[in-house]
Amino acid sequence: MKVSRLKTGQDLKRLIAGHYASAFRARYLRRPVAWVTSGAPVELLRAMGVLPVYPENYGALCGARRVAVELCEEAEAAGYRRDLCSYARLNIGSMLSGRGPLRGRGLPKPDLLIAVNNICHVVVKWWEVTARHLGCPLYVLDVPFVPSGREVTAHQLAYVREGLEEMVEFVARHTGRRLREGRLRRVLALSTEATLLWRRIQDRRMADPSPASALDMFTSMFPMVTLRGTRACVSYLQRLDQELAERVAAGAGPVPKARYRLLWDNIAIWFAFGLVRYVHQRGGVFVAETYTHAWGEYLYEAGDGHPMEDLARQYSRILLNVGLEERFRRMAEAIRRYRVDGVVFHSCRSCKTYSLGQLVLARRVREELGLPTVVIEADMADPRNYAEGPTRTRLDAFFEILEGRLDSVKGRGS
Amino acid sequence: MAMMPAESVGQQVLFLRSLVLNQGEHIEREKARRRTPVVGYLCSYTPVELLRAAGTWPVRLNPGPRSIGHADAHIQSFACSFARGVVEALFDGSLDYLDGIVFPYTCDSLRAAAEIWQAERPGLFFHFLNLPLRMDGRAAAAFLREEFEHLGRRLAEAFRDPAPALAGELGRQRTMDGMYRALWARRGSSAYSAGDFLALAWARESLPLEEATALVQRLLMEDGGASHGGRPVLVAGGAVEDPAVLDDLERCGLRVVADDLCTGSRAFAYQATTCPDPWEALVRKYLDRVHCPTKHPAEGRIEHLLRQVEASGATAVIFLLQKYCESHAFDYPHLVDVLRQAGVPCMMVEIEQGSTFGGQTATRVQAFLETAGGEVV
Repeated sequence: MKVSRLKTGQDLKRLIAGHYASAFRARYLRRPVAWVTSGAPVELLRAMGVLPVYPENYGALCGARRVAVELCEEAEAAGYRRDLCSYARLNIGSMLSGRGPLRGRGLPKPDLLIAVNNICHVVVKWWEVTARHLGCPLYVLDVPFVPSGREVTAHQLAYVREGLEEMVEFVARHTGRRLREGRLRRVLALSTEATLLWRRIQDRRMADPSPASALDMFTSMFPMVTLRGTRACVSYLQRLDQELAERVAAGAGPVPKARYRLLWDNIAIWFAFGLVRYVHQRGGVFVAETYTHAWGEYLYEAGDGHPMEDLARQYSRILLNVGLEERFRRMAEAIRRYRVDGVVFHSCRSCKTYSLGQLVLARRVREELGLPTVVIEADMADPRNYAEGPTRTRLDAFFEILEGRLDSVKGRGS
Repeated sequence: MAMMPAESVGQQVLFLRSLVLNQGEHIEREKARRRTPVVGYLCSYTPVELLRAAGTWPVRLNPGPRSIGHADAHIQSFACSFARGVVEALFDGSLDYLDGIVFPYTCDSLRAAAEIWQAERPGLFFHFLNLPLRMDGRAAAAFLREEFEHLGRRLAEAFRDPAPALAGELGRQRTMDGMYRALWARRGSSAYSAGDFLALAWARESLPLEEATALVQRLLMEDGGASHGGRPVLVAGGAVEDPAVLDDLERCGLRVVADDLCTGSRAFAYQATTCPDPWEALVRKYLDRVHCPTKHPAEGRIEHLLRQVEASGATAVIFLLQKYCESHAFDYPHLVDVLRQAGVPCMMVEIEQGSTFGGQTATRVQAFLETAGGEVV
């Protein structure tokens, strides 16, 4: 099936190339570079003139360009077990070998490292390995988990806020750059603007046909991850929003006659986008992903509020740092708003925080919301942990259930 | 009447080995006799003093060797067997005797196991204990104190206010831990096997405190020492659930003279400072201890490992790593580098719940001992 791609895809390519080029240029411009985890409070770094680079995004890039295995093998040869996170392994492998898909090299070396445990514990261990190997200063921001049945407590906020203050001191000590509140507020305002745009873009997918599928959104989220808090991010999202608005007006979308509106849970399988195309062939279209929606959480109060408090709150409540109850609530809300017919859970061997707990969520979706679900086991970057045939077979069975449900609805209606 | 048979200390150690693997059977019987609520916990960062001060009997849960059936519907196969065993135990009825459970936040897999317990066992006293990940953070002590006080408030609601008895419980635990350190310092010349010592470490965390204290006291007096020989090694790693795993190791021709295991001495290796405020003392105990790889920074543990190698006379280190345990696996290559630079050969054996050494692993260990050189005592 021919799937029409977004015109803004070209803008996106330029943005990605520009981002990595600026990371390589940074040392010549004496601009400090920090390797950060995807849950890092990047607004603080941007406000201090530090360029954030995301090894996880680099992991996605390596996965999509199918160079992950050779890099993972470098790490495995150095003693890192194959059951460890593939993003970590391929980054370690790239760091050890100096090889990678960016002009044949890996990421440009950082001046400092920032890890935050609000997405998983693994990133802290991975960043420790990186710090030892590169001899680079590391700061770990500790953001406690928000278990089911508990809100973000005042003492938790105070703890994270203190950690943020400590982080600012750390960055200042290693870069000589100070945090200016006015600049921070401007960056936060840009983050908020981007988040509101991202939400609007996602909301356009409520239309039938949906103007975008997971194929578009997994790649379009790049600026929300890596460029949050910049004008470039906002400009790109404005163009993307415009394009989706035009598609909705024209009744156009990647799968114009989709029969099933689906939700995807977990990180993309970067090397197997063919699987999403297969879903399209079977008449399904992903109208929402918990993964891409997770980037719509960064709303900061305008005005005279306390930016540090605000940052502490937002970075405590991100998807992988809240309990299953809240994850189910957010999933159920997406299912309702996007009129989802079924859920595909990618049980990702590399990402335990995202994956363990999915079987509970899947059962609740079936029992409480009455929707069919399917769990497919794979990996976001390492194709050795993926079997295309059995995965398609599972999807086939899932579509049979969806079909049966549709027929019974029609039967009742006739 | 005591929980343990009052016969020879050797028989008591045998009982402990049975207790480790059949907790439910023994504890359920003893609970009926004592009429004390039992609160299970999953890792050595649980403030057992607080649980005891609340009038409960804290028992560190050992999923132990068990076949996984029910858990497959709730947690994927790529979680470690320890986490999967904990979930299995939720459904197979073996932990029905519990009055409560406390999950400290250690790693991503146990967090998931905690979430499954919380979702599937409503009505049971359940507490997720948040811990700082960064033990050297400026606000770590204040945060941990608040988390401990929060647990204290919840225990007060469910059982009894722990505040009045906390100082006393801290003192009793401190005394027992001192004895455990003394016993561990002598293990190189002990008549007891590494598996026995593992059972003793589990006993510290699952026997009623007075019985554990009496036992270790007796061992300190009666263990005349008649070491069975073998090359002295240190074993390091995560949770080892079955004493037989260590005995299998020793049968390969080595003698475990020290350990750095989650279920071994790591929990009591550090002598906590005392302070007049019991809450402060509780915080310092858990903040200043030897940390496991789920905590940052990691350097303290590396130093502890090297010191232990030196103090115990270990000539090699055997890492026993649970399959799928990421925290330990990330540290492993660095630890190997550091140890090898210090002239200490090391090897890794991957373990899973219920696994015993097959012939292949035994051959690997023997080959390692032969090629690693050094004098075999």
